[in-house]
Formats: sequence, structure tokens, C-alpha cells
Amino acid sequence: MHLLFLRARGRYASYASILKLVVSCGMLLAACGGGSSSSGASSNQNSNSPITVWVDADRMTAIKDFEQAFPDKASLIKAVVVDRNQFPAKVLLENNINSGWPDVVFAEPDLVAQVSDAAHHFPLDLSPYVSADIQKNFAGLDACRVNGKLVCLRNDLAQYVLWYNAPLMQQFGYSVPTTWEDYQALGLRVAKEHPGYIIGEFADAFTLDEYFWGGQCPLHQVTGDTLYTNLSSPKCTRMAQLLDTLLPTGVLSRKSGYFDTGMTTLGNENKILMLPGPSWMAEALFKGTYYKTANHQLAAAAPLKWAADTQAYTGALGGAAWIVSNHTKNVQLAVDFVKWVTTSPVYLGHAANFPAYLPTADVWSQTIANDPLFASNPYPVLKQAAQELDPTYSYVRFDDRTIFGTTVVTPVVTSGATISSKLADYQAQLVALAQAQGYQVTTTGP
Amino acid sequence: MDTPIASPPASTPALPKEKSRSRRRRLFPRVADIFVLPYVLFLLVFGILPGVYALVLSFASFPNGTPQYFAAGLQNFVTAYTDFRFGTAFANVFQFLVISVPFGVIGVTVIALLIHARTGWFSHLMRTIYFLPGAVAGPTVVLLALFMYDPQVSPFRGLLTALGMQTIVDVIQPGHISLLFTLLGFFVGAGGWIAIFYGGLQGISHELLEAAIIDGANGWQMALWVKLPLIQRYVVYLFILTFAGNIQIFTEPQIISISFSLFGFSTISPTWSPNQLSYYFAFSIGNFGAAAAISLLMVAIGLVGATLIIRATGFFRTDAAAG
Repeated sequence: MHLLFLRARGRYASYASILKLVVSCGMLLAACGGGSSSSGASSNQNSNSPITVWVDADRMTAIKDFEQAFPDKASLIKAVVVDRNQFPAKVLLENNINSGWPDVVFAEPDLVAQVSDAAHHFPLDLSPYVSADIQKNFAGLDACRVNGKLVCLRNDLAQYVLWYNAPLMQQFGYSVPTTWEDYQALGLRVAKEHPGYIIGEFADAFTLDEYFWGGQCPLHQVTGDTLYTNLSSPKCTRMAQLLDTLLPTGVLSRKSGYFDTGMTTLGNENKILMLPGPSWMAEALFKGTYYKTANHQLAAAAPLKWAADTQAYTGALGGAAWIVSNHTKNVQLAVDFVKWVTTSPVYLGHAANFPAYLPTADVWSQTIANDPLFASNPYPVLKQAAQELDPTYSYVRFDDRTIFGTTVVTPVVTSGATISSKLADYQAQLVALAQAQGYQVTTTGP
Repeated sequence: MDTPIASPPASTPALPKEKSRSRRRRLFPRVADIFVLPYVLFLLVFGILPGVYALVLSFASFPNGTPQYFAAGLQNFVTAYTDFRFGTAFANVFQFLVISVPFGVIGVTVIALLIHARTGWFSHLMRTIYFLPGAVAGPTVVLLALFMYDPQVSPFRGLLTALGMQTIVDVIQPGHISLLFTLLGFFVGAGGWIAIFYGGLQGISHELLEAAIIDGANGWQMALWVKLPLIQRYVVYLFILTFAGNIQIFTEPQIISISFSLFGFSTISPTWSPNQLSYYFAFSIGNFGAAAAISLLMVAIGLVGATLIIRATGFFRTDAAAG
């Protein structure tokens, strides 16, 4: 479920890397145990101690940029390309043998949540090392706050916005919706006036983030070990009703999700009128995949809000972060590295995804400012959406999305059930999973 | 095993004498012992020792990621066996076994008998064709299967769309999973077994088959009443190995559930099979003890299953004793 690395690669291209992961996962054997665990930063610090950094192939650029900026430290950085989906499992094995942890890891917030529990006991609390001023300039940093600790710094964000086809909207004489109510009304008009065009999708489990997270449905809000979830909240049911209204009209793609060839076909035929999607979707999917030619089609609208709400909130699909290990022998270098890669425009100012550090994001905006893909510069909308990520949402130690697929999306898509009727099933599975992961679950109040 | 070839009955009075003689000889390694040695070593290192380690782990607790040996008592067993996914995982694998084991055993036997019914270039060609998929390693097959099961790219898309399936989610639905895994397993594993069965059938003496023909047996009768009883032991062996292999199913649901979740499809739970649940306990929750508890249960089921089948079929009886 870690999407950041997907980028423009298709579904099939990624199977190979999944395969590799599973083969090596299957071969893992628990090593012999023993020893004790430490807490907080490791005591015997050494500023000449090398640090091991776990990255993916795309993030090697960060290492190279850092080594160029600080040639004297270059020899101390040992970069290893890993499959980070194995990261939580590897930490457990390293805990078992009480050695071998990496010092810095690049990973998504849900992996960060997984390694932050007592069993993994991995991240270093960064709050003493990162000033409040710097923290203030980050968007999406809520994902890094676990029980009052700052367990990571965000690399990039994947905030949802409403992508739309500007020339098509103009041609049809529609104005861009600003509320979910407008979105529903426009959907019903599209179904009547221009059948075959879509304004969203309900074909994959990402719809959980696309609609329910963005609608501020309390999927999971964690305080300490207590997890509040309430799918029968009006904030969830109003979204389910909206989707149930739109689904039968055909304006939501129910055969093809983001990564399906069917969606590409819809894009090629210019049938995607609107599509709520994460920030990386423009460059990764619209460019070259949905749209064969860049011809000033795409525009971004701010995340939708409910008419009754005072503020809009949005969800995310991906976006990553950097974690420092509490076992590191060189906290100074590890923290300096993480601070530099996340804040310096040298690296993220030219990377593919939206930087979480907003001053860097302003630099980054130049990379898309003159892109012929866009009808108008989407940067102001993206920046606004970055600051509208729902702060009540918590990343959790279990996979909330797969069960949304099995309990809601698959029955709805294959047997025509309503979404409203399936939320209770999802709730039941979510509660069971959360309890199995050691959360105290409550359905009343955060 | 009922072999049509009459063997002289073993003389029971001779047994005690043989036993004492063999005990004396045990002081020195026999050739057979040397042949068995590598297997015993591997069994120790990769079978018995990990099993003992799992047994030790199953009583350990993992409060902060490191094992505290014998601190958990029976808690891990309670945790694992009362988990809300435990019943579903075993129900899934039971359904899979009920479909896949008979399908595999009957399918392989029928194909082998058919190929052997009339030997010639065609049967040799078919035997090779059946064998080919076996050359593809396990996880790669799952990858291939994902293409085969995707109505948008599959070479069988005509068939799939005729069945009303338009997307991969239509194909890989919870209700279809056992059947899909059965087809996948058969595709990969059957060829090797067909070759083995074929070899077994080739070993049947020509006189016997000629005698059957002279007695007026047709092709069906030959296959059912002459050839099948003679390769019965292979069938039992296949049965045991298929059962033991299939109950451990892990790779297929794991790869599909991981790769699907990357693309937002979810039809298979990450804890579909007991082995996946065990893996989940170990590497998602960090409770290696509960994972070990499930693994031990799997060992127990495998041992009991194999013992029952061996007892029921007299698999280890030697030809001399079989009568």
C-alpha cells in the first residue's frame, strides 16, 4: 500500500519488485534472541561513526546531493537500497539479535506508525533536534507526531485535490464544484447531459482515502493506545450516500481504478471530466498515461468541503518521510542528514513529488510552472491542499485499506451492494484488526 | 498394497534373528547410512532444529521486541488460537484442500494413464508439454497467473469475458480463490508428477499387459484394473505430498494480496491462510510466539495427516511384506 514509488510505472512493471519482496520475505528466519533493548538515543555517540541509510533507488539522488554538499561527510554515509515494505519486519529481527539496525530510513507514514510501537521501538524523538520554526514550515507533519514525539520528518506529500479537464468543463459550460453537494449535483447533470464521462471512481480501495479520509470521516484517530473509530458518524454516512447516489448513474468509474488500463483508455478518449487524485497524479498518471499529449488540459481545484462544514479537509495517497533510529551511534550526522534532505531545495526543490517543507515547495513550484500539461498553474491549489490534510487522521499499525477493499469495494463493484450497507462490515473488521494490533478501540468521541 | 504379482509371504519366525544380527552390525556405518546421512543432516538443520526453536519461542513473550524465554506460558497459544482470523484462515485452507487435493491427484493420474494408453510421438510430446510449466519457479508462476487471470490482458480473455468477467477483480473474487489456486498449483506441479507416473507405468512388465489384452481387457479396463493398482503407491505418495504442500499455502495469496494492495485491489486478505496469519503475527505484530504456536499446529496437522494416510494405505509396507 506504499504508493510513493509507483509513479509512472504501470501495474505490471511493479509485479517484479513485489515478487522480489515476497521471495525474500518468505526466506526470513528468526535469528536467535537475547539482549536488552535501549530507550532514547544510544548513549555511546561518535561523530565519526558512519551511518547506514535505507532508501529506494529513486532516493539515491538525495544521498548524492548530500554528499556533494558535504564532501567531508560523504565517506560516512552508507546508502543501501532496500524494499522498505520489509522495514518493520527487519526491525523486529534486528531487535531479536539486538544489532544491525539502519540509522536512517526513508519510509511512508504508515510504516513509521508500525515501527513506533513498543515491539518495534525504533524511531528517535526528533523534537529536541528540530526547531519549532522549522517544524512550523512543514505541512503534513501531523503524520510524524506519535504520542507527543516527533518520530519523522516529511519528505513529500500526496495530498488529494480535485483534478479536472479545464477545456472540457468550459465546453460543457460547467463551473468547478467547491462543495461535495455541488460535486453530486454536477455528477447528476453529467450523467444526463454527457453520459460516458466520469467525475471520479469507485473501483479500487484507494476510494477510502479519496472520499472518506477527505470527508473527515473518523476512520481512526489515535491518542496514546486508544483508537477512536466511528463509521456510523454522519461524516461517513453523508459520503456513503453521495457515492450511492452517483454510482448507479455511471459518472464514477466502477470498472477501472487509478492504475487500470481502463482508466488510461478513459483518459485517452478524453472522458475524464474530473478525478479526485493525489498531488503526484498530474505528473505520474495524467502526463503520458491518461493524456497522450500535453495540451493544457489539466487543472487542479481545491479539495471539496461539505456545505455545512467551515473548512475543507483532504486525505493523501502516499507521501513519505525520513526516520532516525534511536539506536544510531551518530545522532548528529543522522539528524543533520534528515534535516538537510527534507528542507534543502537542492534536493527536493527539483524532485518529482510535492515537497512537505513549504519554503522548498515554493522553489519546487518552478518545475511545474510552465508544464504544457496544465491549463493553469496548479501550485497554489496544491499548496493550499497540503495545509488542509485532516489533522485528526492518524496513521495506524494495520492496513486499513485492504479490508476496505474486501468488505466494501469488492461487494459493491461485483454484486451491486450499496456502500452505506457495507460500512458496518468495514467497521467490524477495522475494530478487530485494531484490537489485534493492541489498540484500545472506542467508537464514542476521540 | 494389492499387487497382482504374488510374492512369497514373509517368514515371521526369522525376524528376531535378523533383528539381533542387524543390531550387531549397527556398530559400523552401512552404505545405506551414508546415503541417508546428508538427508538426516538437512532434516536436523532445516527441520528439527527450527521446530525445536519454534517450540521454545512459542512459550516466549516479546514485550519490547526482544524475546523473554518461557515468560508467556500458554498465552501465545491462547492468543493465536482465539484470534478472530484463526477460524477463517483454517476454513479457507480447508476449502482449498478439499478442492485442490482430489483435483490434483485425480487429474495427474488420469492424464498419466491417458498418455500411457497409446504411446507414440504424440504422447511423448504431451508429456513434455505438461512438464514445461514445472520449469517456472514458484513465485514467478503467481506473476504469470496474474496475467492469465486478468481479462484485460489474458490470452484466455475470450473465455473470461464469456463468463462475464471484465476486470481482474471479477476473476480473483473471494469465492473463486480456492479454485484459482488449484488451477495454478496444478499447472505448475502436475507435469513433474505426470512424468513420474509415466515412468511408473513404463515399469509395468509387458507380459502382464499382454496377458490382460489376451484376456480381452480394453483400454479402460487395462487402465483401471491393471495399471492403476500397480502405480497405487505413487498415487498415495502424491496424495501425501499434495496435502502437506497445499496446507502450507503461502506464496500465492501473499503475492496476490501484496501486489493487489499496491494497486488498490483487495480481494484476498493478508491473513488468508494459516501460514500467512503466522507470518502476520511475526512480522506485522512482532509476536513471534503466537506465530510459532500456529506453526506448531501446522506441523501437528501435517504429521497426523501423513500418519493416517500411511497407516490407511500401508504405504511403508515393503513388497515382501505386502503379500
